[in-house]
Amino acid sequence: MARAVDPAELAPTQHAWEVDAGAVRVRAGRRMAVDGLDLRLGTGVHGLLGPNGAGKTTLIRALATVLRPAGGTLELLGVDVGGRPDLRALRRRIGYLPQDFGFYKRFTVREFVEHMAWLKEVDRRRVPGAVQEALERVGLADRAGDTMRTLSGGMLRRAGIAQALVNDPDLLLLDEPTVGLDPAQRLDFRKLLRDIGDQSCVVVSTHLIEDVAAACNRVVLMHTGKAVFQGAPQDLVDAGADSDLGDTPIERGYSALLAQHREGARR
Amino acid sequence: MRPLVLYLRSRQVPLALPGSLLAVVAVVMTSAGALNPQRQVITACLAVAAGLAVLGQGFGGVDPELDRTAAVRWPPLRMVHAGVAAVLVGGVTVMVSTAPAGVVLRAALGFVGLAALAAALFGRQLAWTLPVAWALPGVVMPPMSEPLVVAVLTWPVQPQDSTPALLAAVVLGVGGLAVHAVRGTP
Amino acid sequence: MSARMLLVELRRSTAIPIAIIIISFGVTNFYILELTDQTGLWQPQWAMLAGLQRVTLIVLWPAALAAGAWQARRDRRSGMTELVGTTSRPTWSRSLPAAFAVGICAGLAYLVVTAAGAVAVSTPYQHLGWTPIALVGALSLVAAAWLGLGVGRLLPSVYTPPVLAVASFILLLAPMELSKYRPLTGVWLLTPNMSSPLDELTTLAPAVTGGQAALFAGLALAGLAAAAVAKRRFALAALAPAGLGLVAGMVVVSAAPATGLQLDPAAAAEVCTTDDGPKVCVLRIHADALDSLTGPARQALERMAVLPTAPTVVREVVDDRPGPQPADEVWFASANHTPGEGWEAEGNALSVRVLAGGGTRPCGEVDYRERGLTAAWLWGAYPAPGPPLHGTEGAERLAEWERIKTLPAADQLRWFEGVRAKYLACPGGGTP
Repeated sequence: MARAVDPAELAPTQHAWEVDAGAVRVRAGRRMAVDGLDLRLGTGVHGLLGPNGAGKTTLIRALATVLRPAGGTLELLGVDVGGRPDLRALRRRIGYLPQDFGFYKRFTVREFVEHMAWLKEVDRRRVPGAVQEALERVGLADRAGDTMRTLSGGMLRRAGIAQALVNDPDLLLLDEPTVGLDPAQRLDFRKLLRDIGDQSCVVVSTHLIEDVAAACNRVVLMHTGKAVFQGAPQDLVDAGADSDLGDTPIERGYSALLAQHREGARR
Repeated sequence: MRPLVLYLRSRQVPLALPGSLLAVVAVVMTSAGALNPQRQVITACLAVAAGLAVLGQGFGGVDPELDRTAAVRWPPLRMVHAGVAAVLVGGVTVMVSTAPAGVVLRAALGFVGLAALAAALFGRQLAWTLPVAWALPGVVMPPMSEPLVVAVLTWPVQPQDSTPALLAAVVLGVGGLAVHAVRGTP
Repeated sequence: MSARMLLVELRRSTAIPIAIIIISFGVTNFYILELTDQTGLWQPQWAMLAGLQRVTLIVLWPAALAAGAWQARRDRRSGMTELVGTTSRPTWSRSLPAAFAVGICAGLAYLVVTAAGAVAVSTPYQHLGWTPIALVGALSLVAAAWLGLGVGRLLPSVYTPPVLAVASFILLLAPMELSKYRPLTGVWLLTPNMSSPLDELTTLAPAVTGGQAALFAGLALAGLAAAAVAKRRFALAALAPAGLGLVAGMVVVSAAPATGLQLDPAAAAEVCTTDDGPKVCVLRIHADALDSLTGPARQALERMAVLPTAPTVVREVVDDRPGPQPADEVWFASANHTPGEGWEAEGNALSVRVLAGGGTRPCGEVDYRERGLTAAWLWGAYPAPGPPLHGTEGAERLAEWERIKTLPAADQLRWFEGVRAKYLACPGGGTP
């Protein structure tokens, strides 16, 4: 099925920010996991940091259109998802790697990525090329013919990243993408993120602060459902002092900001 | 007591056991009032197969690899689990059905072996496949005693005193339970 | 729908496993009859092949339903629901490749079994009238697989496939049980599985096949709709094609004879000798047994030449062909032929069978003693060639023979003509 070209795709971008959230609230089960978050993200690689339970995954799921905001405003690629948006057009332009990444065991890696490309309505003529490119970018081209069940944990994660990339998304959401990657692969992955960040908005949730320092242009620090810090990685480094907890300057900055926020919340 | 409760919960028994017994009773009820004794045998065998198909989902844990690393001695535990399942399903069927008890218990032995074998081969979610796959064709074919192949294929509905049927049930039951006890689920 | 995705699903979904199950069970069902010497149930006639295969649907329907339900749960089983839910392709579009893969494989596998059985069919009656019966069977399996997909979508539990298999089996068992007490009629004729195999001369009425086609098309669409609607709460819409199919099926099937079965006129057509001798005819379905009947039948006609109204032609007739039988014809019941094997006697013994009842078919209240004795009378000896009779019946029949032989010739002829006239005049003609 040939995809009709949406006029909106050819028009120059009308939005200033790929992600524009104003006091957005998102429910995870009964809990308001994202509670009054303000966030503006443009092109570039954005690291999403925060302790367990800070609301990172809930935020990413809202950005991936899995969850709908319970309040506030959320615009993705210029589309307000609070109203009755044309999710189909929006979803064509989003790439998403969930934290719990499922897959069809019997599919080969290429079939799996192809399947995802088809689900994202990538133009049929472009599919073979896009699949090959995505597999090459994550270094899985030589395993393309193997079934998913034979892959190791790190390879599965890379297959997950490949499917997120396959539609050349304008908004790429990666929830803990580096879990299971070996050190060399992580270096490659950081380079890949920087490449993609040149043209797209990439949001990476992670606990590995070094990844953020090395690959991200911007850092968002979340705590209890709010963004408590936004800035460049260097700003995070500057926030820390030698007395703070951590082995590297950026870890110390992370601990310092969190500690400040906890104290503020207590008062 | 608490470890037992937790074990049963990890095997979905609190949901599956009532479901399984409900299935047994429901299947037996479909022939209530039918005068043909062979019809009672057919539904009793189907009831046993259905009950064990439902309980077969519990013949393995959610994460078999994690289970395998546990210190518990699995083979006897798996044997007991499957054995108790067979006794419960067989016992309830004997109580509610008018089919001969020997036929029902023979069916329970054979079908629990098939369920255990399927769980060992294809995983717990497919434990139902072999008992159902043998029960359906097995009960519709006329239970002829000759030739031997037909007698073995229709073992569930053979008369109570049929030696080939008993042997088939014992081989399937013991063999299936042994394979499952040793290998667990994939 | 993407052809490439269809190809992937053909290889990776439940399509291949269900095809293997259907083929292995179906082929086993045909050839296990070799073991019990029952290949006569399907090898002598194409319609019997198609009919016997329809009997197996009692097992294949539950299998296809369960396979569909298992397939429907794949996203959930694989933890893919969240990821798939964030993609742009609408639900109906994304569910089509797997549905078509499973449907195609289920339908084709059924036809593969037909082909595997067709290899062993041996019949002089070549025709295509049986193909709708086979094609509707294949369509019904597509419907079963898609219904399974739909039910699996609506009830996505690990327990759905086994429960569905056993429940549907019990439902399909109902018409089979019922058919033991009375012939199936009306809506019961729409069940996918036939309750008993066809015989050589009988076929399913076209209206029954047509009604079934309408019902299964409706059910297939219903299953597909339930599997493909965007939200589960829209699945009620699937009731529309199912209900429409059922109504259409019932309307069409009401045009069929009450039992849904009818004589295949082409199978019962006559094939006759073309040489100069007295004419001998058999049913088309037994055309290859004409030669072995011709000699004994002509010998029988010679024996009957002594009669005042001597018949000149022997016709094989369906067992209850409506009378009256013309006096210049011998009617030979097709019950004397074993499907797949041939006449139940040969040579003189076959001649004697032709002479039974004075060259009439058994009809009305049949008295086999007088039929046997009239044959012996024409043959001129007792016992006539054929399987010997023992016990009291043998002794009583011999005593009767002795009594008849003591009568004057005119009385003997009157006795004979009396028996013959009774069968000649018998109206016969129940539905086959």
